[in-house]
Amino acid sequence: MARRGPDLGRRGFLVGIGASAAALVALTAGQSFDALAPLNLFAPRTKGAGPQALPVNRTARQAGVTDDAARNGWTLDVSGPAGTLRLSRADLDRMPQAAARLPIACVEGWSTSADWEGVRLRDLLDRVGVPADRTIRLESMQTHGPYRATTMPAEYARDPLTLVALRLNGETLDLDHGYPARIIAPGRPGVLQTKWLTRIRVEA
Amino acid sequence: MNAARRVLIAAGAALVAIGGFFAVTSLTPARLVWLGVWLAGAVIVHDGVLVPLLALARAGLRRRGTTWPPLAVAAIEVGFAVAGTVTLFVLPELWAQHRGSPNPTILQGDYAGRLLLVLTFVAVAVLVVVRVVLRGARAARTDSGDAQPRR
Repeated sequence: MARRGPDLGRRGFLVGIGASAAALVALTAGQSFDALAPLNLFAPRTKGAGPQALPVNRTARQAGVTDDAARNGWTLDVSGPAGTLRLSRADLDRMPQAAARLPIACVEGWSTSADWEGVRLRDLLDRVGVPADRTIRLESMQTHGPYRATTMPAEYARDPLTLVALRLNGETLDLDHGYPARIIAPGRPGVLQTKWLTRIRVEA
Repeated sequence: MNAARRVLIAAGAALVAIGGFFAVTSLTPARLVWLGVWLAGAVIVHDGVLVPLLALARAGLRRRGTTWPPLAVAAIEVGFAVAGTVTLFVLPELWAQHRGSPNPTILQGDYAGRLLLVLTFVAVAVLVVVRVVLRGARAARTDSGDAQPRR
């Protein structure tokens, strides 16, 4: 309690700073933390708001990916020392499937977990003989944006939870979430979870 | 200066040093410049917007001629800090919403309406605290024999 006249005083000042910070966190952190989601009044994102209950960082339209390009003639090329596999979406659907519950943790500050299903990346790499210690390069069919191609160190590429995801929360991936196929890996920022995946090869 | 305060100052200085080290070693010069701009923006908003508004509010309180109990003043100023911080956070969102986004999963809320709601809540909370404090002060004066009739 300040006793020095009309001044706020040091304690009052600290209480003001603390109350402001607490209020802002309480009213915005719900875009990343389930416990605070009901209080999320001011964050730019809302948990579960988006196609298939997952927000989108960059839409297909923003990335220059059309529905037509994603559906007609799309293939995923996986290259390694043993050659190149050219896989259609149907080929991928026929391969052994795995599931993982992983978040999209966006560098913009929001985070939402989702259930993903698809083909383990390491299975694909093994089929073309990529050695287990190699960094790989992932390329998207997107035409705009700085993350058209990303590199993935071997420890992520070989993680059993890292998938070439085909389904999200029980449904076929939405175009805005990277249909026909996208990468989902644990412990990587959202911008590196390459969508509209079209090529996987060993980093030169 | 007591030991607790010395420990706090040392911890704060250490955090600043760690932050500075990582800023210099992990950010490109261009990003460091933008970091400077951003920090300067925070100072400008604080000193150029929040503080003048608070000074005006204080002048308004003084003009009313009443001597307010320090706790009531503290409640008003804390309420002002909370309201100002939240408003500063929401204004750019309103601007971005007005400008429009090609991404339908961002900025979906009725932020203006919610801001009004939160500001009203803060105002009511401050009024309640001030009223309780003033009533307590009046009761104390009456108890100590001040000739002031109680309602």
